[in-house]
Amino acid sequence: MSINIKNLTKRFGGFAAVDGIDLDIQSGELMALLGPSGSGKTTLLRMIGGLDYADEGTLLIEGQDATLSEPHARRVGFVFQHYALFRHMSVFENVAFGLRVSRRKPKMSEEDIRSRVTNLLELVQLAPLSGRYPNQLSGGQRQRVALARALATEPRVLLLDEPFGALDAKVRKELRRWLRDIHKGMGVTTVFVTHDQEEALELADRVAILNKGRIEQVGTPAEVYDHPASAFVCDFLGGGTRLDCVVADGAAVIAGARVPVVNELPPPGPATAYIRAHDIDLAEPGEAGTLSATIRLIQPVGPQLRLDLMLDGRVVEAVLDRHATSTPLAPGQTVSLRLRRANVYAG
Amino acid sequence: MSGHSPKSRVTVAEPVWVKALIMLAALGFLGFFILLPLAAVFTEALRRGLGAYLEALVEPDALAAIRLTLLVAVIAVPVNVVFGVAAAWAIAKHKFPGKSLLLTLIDLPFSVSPVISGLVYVLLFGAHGLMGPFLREHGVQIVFAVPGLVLATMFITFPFVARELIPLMQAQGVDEEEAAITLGASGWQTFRRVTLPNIRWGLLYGVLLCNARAMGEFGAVSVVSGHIRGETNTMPLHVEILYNEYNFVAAFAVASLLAILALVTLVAKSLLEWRHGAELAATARRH
Repeated sequence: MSINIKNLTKRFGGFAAVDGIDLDIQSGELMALLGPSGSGKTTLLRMIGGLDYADEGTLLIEGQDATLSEPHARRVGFVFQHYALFRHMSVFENVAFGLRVSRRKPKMSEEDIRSRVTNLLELVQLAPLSGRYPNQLSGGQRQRVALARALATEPRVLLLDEPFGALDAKVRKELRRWLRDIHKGMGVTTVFVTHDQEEALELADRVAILNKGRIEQVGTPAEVYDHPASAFVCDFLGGGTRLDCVVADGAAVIAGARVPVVNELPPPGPATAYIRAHDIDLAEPGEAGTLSATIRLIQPVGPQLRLDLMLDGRVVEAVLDRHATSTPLAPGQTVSLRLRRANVYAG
Repeated sequence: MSGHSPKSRVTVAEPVWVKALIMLAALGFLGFFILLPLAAVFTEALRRGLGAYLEALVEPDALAAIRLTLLVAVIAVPVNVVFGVAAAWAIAKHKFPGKSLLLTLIDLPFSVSPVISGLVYVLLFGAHGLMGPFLREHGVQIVFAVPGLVLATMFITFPFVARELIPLMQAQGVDEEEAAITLGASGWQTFRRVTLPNIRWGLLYGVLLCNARAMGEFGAVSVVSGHIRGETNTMPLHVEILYNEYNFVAAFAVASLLAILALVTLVAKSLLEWRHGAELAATARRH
């Protein structure tokens, strides 16, 4: 179901945690709220779920004003960062809770509850553990119980707060794919909060990047990665190395070399350029438009060759394809670089 | 937290004689100040044999004292459970102005002398007290009657349940309550199905301590009681009267009941700590 947010604001004391946010989430969409800690992403999610109320602005769910409605009236499912499973209830009872306290008439029969919970536990592959208690489960299993519990009441919107934050890398990867499959299968509008840009880009249909209670940019993962709207977005999405440059004659000039700019060029004058590690190539010495740099460190990582280069007194990170790099390289060596593209922002 | 690695154990290793000396000192202290008096109570009570002991307990005034003590506890403890749970819930799960003031007020009975607590009720409800004339007109007697005893006991024992639950509830946070609410539970359902089960052992623990104190309270009750034999004497007051009358066997016989109550409380408390130690850990440090 669609969610329309207009000028939503939430203050804690004098501090605006969410500061006039506008955001439209389409029905069935998988949306990521991405930002550093303190950017207001969790507060925004809690306001959508009815756990916090906005001081200003409106929130529509499915076209209806839900700004001040009770959590149960919104019919949202919420998955908490630390799962918040009921510690004194078995896995089965955790999942059944929402059905047992439901105010919808007629009440579900015990038999229906049993079959719904069993189906959900099968969906999250936890049917054999239905009698266990939360403290007998691993982090990944708890996460799946929390998800099954949130889905039990057939929510119109599924909200997840840092869903994979507390899990180790391998489990995180599995659960990510699995959440994507579940989302695809059920088609429920889903909003999740994360501070991990890789997670947001990999999982979401669209990403909203938040900073200091405001939205910096909203777009598909490719859009926001390829065309960051601000220096903050560029930096947060792995902008690479920051270098001073000068904008002149429709290009950015870094240490004397002209570098193509992918985003909208800021007005002529001093500016900041972000060069991603993948956008740096080794070039033949003396070729036009190249820069000279010194290798400080070489690290082969799997198929990649990671280099720390000294360029104009700054450390620049570069990542090369290990097998495509034929020239032998050694620390202290001087090499020629070509910067394929840069994102340039005024200031 | 100190680790349990062998290395950290080495750092606290003392010579054997030092350990023995410390243990002897501790056990000696315990024996002299706790076990010896406890043994004395039972020896004195049974000095003239089991017959005299039981006779002292079934004597009408003693029975009245026992009944009164139970009555006061039966009223004061449930009332304090309700208020204690409500206060702890408000303090631990909500933010509101005046929260720290409320916390301080809850601690007040612990910091005020029980005699003063009793005196306050005399000054408020006594014949020459603030509300004395009004109460007399309406034929209500509070001081020197059961209502005064109940009020004084409630005041004294108020902190036990609240103090037990506040740290426990604070440690548990509001995550589970929020989860319940997003799943559609009402406030009452959330309290009954989520909050209450999570604090049940801590609550039982608080009730035990509250009850022990309610039955054993002397100072505040003594001030408001009026010491009318068979009417307003609770067990601790009855013990005092008997003792002052040099009726040692009877005094110690009734005292032994209180001692047994203390022992039962202690055993129940240890059982709770043993079975549900992790859950109570948040509060255990204070007892």
